[in-house]
Amino acid sequence: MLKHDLRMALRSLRRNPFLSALMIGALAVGITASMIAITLYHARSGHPISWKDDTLFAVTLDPRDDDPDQGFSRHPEYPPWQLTYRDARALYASDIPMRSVMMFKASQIVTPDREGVKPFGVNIRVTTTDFFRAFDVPFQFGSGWSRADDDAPGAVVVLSKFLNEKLFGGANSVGREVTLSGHSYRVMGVIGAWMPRPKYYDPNNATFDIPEDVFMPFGWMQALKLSTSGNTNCVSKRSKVTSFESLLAEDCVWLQYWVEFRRPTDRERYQIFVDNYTNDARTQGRFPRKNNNRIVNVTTWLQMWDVVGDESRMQVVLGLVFLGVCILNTLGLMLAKFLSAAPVAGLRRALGASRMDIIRQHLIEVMVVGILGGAAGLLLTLGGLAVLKGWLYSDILAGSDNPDRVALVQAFVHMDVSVILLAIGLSLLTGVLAGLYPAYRIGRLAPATFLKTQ
Amino acid sequence: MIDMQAVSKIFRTDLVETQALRSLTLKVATGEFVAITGHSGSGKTTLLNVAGLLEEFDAGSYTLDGQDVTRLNDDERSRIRNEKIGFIFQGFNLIPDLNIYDNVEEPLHYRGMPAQERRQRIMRSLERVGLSTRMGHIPSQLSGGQQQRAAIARAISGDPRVILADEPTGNLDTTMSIQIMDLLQEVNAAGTTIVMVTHNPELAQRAHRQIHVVDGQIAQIHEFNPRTASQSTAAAL
Amino acid sequence: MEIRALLSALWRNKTGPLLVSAQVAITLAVLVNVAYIVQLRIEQVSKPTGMDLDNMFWIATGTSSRDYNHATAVKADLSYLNSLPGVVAASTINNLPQTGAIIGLPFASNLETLQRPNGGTGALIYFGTDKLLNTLGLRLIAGRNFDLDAIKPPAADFEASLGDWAQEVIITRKMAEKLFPDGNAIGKPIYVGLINKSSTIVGIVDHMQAAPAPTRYDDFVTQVVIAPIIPSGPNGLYVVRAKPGQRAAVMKQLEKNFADLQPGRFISRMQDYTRTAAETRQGTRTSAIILAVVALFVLAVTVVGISGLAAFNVTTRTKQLGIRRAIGARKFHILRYFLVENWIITTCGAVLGCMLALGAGIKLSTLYEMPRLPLYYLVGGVLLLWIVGLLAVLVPARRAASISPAVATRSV
Repeated sequence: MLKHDLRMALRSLRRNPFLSALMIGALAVGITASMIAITLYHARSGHPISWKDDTLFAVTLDPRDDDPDQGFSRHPEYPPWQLTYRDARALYASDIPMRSVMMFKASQIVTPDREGVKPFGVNIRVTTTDFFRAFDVPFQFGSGWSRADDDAPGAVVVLSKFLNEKLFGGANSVGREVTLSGHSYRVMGVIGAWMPRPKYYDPNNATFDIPEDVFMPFGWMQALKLSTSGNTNCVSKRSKVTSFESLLAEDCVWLQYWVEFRRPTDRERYQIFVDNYTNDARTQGRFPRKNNNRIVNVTTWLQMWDVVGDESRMQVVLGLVFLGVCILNTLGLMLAKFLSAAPVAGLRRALGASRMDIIRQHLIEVMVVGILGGAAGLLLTLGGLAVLKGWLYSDILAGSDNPDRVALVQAFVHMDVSVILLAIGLSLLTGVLAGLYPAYRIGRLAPATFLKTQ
Repeated sequence: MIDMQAVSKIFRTDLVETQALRSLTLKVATGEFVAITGHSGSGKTTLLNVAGLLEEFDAGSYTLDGQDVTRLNDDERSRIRNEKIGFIFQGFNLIPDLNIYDNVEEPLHYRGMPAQERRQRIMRSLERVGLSTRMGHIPSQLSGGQQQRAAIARAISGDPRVILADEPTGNLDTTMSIQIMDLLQEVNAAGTTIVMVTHNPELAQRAHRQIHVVDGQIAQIHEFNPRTASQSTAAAL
Repeated sequence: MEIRALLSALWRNKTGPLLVSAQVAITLAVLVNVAYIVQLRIEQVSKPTGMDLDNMFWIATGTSSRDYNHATAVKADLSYLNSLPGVVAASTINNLPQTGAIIGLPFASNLETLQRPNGGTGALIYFGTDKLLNTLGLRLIAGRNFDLDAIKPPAADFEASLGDWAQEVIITRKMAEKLFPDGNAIGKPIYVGLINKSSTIVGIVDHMQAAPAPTRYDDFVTQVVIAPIIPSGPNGLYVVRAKPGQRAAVMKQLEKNFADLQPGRFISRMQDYTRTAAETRQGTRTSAIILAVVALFVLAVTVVGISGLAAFNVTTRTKQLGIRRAIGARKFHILRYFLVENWIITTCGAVLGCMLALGAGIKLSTLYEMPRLPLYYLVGGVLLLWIVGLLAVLVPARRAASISPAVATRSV
């Protein structure tokens, strides 16, 4: 029965190839647009560390002036993303969290040991040692440094996989020396392949980026007077900046701060601690606003940052609207085609076919159109993503010798399994949506209507 | 009314040339009721098409109601069809999406007639065929006989000079056929020339004259109900 | 024209036409809103920068040597660069304009304004030598350039440079209008928040756009304060303006010999400004292109739908059209019937589409902080759809008109 229906459906489609191509093509293009938009959207909505959603938290305080917001931010009620040095230091003294991470981004010059390799700039993450355990950073060789190294500071660094390959050919470089801006450091560890998407631990400057190439103990900030190469924002009118040291004392935010708790319940204790701290500070003239100290997990953090973004959402909406127009289009063509072939259906009914038989036969034809449209759409999507990769990111891909950057771009245009399944489901759904009404209409007609004259 | 002289029509396809009308000469006087008979393929439908300016012909001349219509362009032929000819088809050929009133009104639109005059004519025609109560219905809601009557109303609403009917009772039962033929005779009695194609010899006998067509030529002419004493019998050509 | 009959025939078979109207409606809403967004994006990337970007390029240097003397290096570098025959002017700078790197502070014409909530006027800050104006190609419209002895030598670090500030500054006209609406800012003092210092305004330049931005940030990126300060090291950043047509040659030459002018340093990056400005704008351009392409596809699908449906109607209505011709319709009548029928369907869709477009426009403007959709876009959209709808149905309509009246007598 099904085979017969299938054969009849294919024959019907072949009878008017132009119309069939139009119907299939319309669905295919609509599915392509939607799927490309959904792929890009999906790539931006990853959660790189969902297993720590109960225990890993970003800490934000609100030392801002009473000044009303000037309209630059969509969410003026959010506290600043970063902390001042005073506040970070004060929080770091708490023993409630199992791990505390205080960090910022800087930039230095690496002078390689190897012959013929010129010095080049690298991004450095200056951080306390808990960074590696808190963010589950995998190590290829060695390990992170100790708390003592944070304070001393120890002349040790951790390298990224890419930098290790560039400097030491990928060998186990633990114990070897690296020269950064004229100073020498010993390699303590080399991390493995690690590219959190998005870069949730520091979305300032770029929500998607490759991680830093060098990790350095936090104590070097003061020892070398390292400025952040990220954002600095002075949030109080009374701040007065005259030197590097003044930056450490004033109400200027530039540090990222994260904590990890042993037990989820420790979070409430920590919140109380932080609120007490700001209440205290208020009595000394800081923190003029009401307490707005938010300790948020990564899911909430990513929502606040709106990593997905307006652009992606707009693209998905546009893609689906386009698909809607294509479905209406195919629906109209299908309806016209079925109704014009109604006499044949009437004849079949006269010869004994039931209403369900007619509806089923037409639905099968509809599903064939939907499946062919979906298959074509899937191929076009893959093609479209490849074109997108080449065209949009050709500059990045060409000018970078860092395979991680290439991998970052590729991840954006990659359709993973869930997206492919969604594509299949979407095409089946569009087939049904486009064909249900026409099939119903043709089934509803009484056979005799068409056996009369005309 | 109709004066065709040595009219020929050839249908050409890639493979075959068919001569549908061979040098056919036909005269129909004003007020006559002529029946055209012949087997399928004899050319009677083509004859009707040519007479009704639905198709062009390849040789000969044709004068309709005193006007030479041999070499007119498409627009002129449409205008003459609209003003001088009324058609009645075997399959009724009403426009399925329009109600009876709109169907009857259709040809009057192409004449640019003002609305008031149109309405008068439509109401008059519908009354004459006995369908005034059904003018809001669409064709699929009417019986065959009623549909054909509506088609006749459409054909006469413009006061045509000649009515061309192609098997008008072909799709009707006996009762309805008689009704339709009565109506046609009434219309003819009022002065309209009627040329009717039929394969039913009984119906053909209700006409004044029967013209039998074979292979694109007129084979025989019978007088059944001569209108006036002075009618000549024509010889086969 | 038998409008009433046309409408009642249309109404009796309304599903097909309603589907087309729905497509037209959605297409109008999409086209109009996307066109507006694209226009805004294009505006965003096309605003004048006030700078001679096509002749400019920049060099970033770095050093791994611990005893690098930044001050002497800068002096030597600038003297060398400015001596090159292909160079108009060169200067140091703290941040590259037309990139994402900006530093801004609140300014005011007096201290009380600064202390008031949101009292200061935010401006973006650039450090440079007396040659900076000429290097960027900025036009001085009042006052004078910096005095040579007003230029501050490099301090220990950025914060110290900032804290030290400068005695004189040059500001953009936009800034002058904000701070001194009654005019004549030259010679007046200007106070800067955070470091709480003041300096004298000695010059006003016409226009400088520090970075491309949406229109609602226009003010923010054109309020610029330039201070005669040489940025601290050890990394160097230079902007150079070459003579017309000479940029490539000069860049090539510097690639070879500039680094070695100072021991222990290298060029970390060098790029021509045309490329820099393009890269900054690439995201906006790309998104505009993607949106435009999808909108055109939506239009194409609807056109195909109109055309396909009309063509199909012609084939199914062939007998009917023959009958119409038989009873006297001319080719023109048939053509007109199709065009009018199509126009009615398109216009119904357009009316609905206008409502959809306005609704979507309001939603977009609140969600994405855009200005409201201007009404003339709707007018343009409807006109476009009328024209496009007409063209789409033209071929099937002509085919319909050429159906022979003899079709009426032929059996099925």
